[in-house]
Amino acid sequence: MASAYFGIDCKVYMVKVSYEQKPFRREVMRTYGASVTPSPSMETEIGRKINAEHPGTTGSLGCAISEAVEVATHTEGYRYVLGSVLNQVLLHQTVIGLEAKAALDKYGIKPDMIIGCAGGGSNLGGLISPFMGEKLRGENDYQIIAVEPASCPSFTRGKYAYDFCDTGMVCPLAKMYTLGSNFIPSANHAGGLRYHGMSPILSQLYDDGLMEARSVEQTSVFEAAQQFARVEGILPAPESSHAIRVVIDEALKCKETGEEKTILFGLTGTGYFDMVAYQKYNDGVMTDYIPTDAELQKSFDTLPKVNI
Amino acid sequence: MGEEKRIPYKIYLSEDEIPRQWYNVRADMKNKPAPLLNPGTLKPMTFDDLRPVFCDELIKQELDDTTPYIDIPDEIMDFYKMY
Repeated sequence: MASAYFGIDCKVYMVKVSYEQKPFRREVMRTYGASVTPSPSMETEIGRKINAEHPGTTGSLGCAISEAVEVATHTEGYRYVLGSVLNQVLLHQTVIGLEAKAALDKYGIKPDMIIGCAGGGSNLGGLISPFMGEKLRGENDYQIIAVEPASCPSFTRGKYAYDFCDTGMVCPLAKMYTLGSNFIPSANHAGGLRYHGMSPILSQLYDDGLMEARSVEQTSVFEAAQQFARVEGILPAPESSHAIRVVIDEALKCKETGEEKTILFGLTGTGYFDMVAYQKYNDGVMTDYIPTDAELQKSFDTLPKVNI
Repeated sequence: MGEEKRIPYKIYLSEDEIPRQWYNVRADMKNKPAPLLNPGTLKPMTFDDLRPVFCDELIKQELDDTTPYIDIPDEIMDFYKMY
């Protein structure tokens, strides 16, 4: 959309499993003028290598990043732009938190808890930034909770270590909570938030104990999404519904204890592109997958050795 | 409580209330996030290291751990108003 507005070419490498499972998301991008390639593709050196090593792979964000960076660095006039993880993206997302805060301040409302979904962490980081700033400066206190899928649990089961941002290992190393750049989430995971790592800013804040994290299973996420749709009228994106799950859990706790708490959460997107996943949930065929410790260890074993 | 204090179900902001600056939380973090490292040398990535990959202005933002507020360019403000 931004590329169309500013008259800039846009070439998108989209994780193959999403390209196939979420065809309408792909068509939205094409409608705005982007060319969309499923990743790993045969168009790039790294894509061909990944396809050769993992025939039939459904891809991952890490693979797509490697391909996009390769094309950006080898094509005159092209640069790589990403949608999460790095500081620059989180910075731009702070407009969400600043607007939320402006809206709350208008009526003198102070949230007790702030809850958001975390994949690469930029939307959560954007939502919490102005509140975290107050917390860091000692002006106000907030309970901040990141919610991630149990199938891709970077915060709750990952290691805080330097790791590659991409599968092809061409990108810089970032210190973050990570499941290892070789980690590929189970293909049955429907709800986005599939990145193996986490924003370095949020990773540091989490390591410093300034925020919490919880992981939730996707069937419980869709249960929350359905309940939210029926009560609030809004059909939420599966990603946002991770936050909704924990918001409902926390609100129910308040109901039990009689405490009154104001909960702010980020409703980051609409669910209309994810009706295949909703259909699976409605048909009762959605399953949960939680990686075993052994699976995670296999990926941790490939973390680069960095001593600094 | 006066009528103007009644909290509506939805709170809307006007165009004039769109933030004009992004907030860089790193400026207030005592423990800064660890820098990106060059995978070859294990040294922190510099502006020049990142130039082949990212747009110049975005590299400045990526590496800036100290400026608390960064102006949103007018062209982006126009886009925010539209959407």
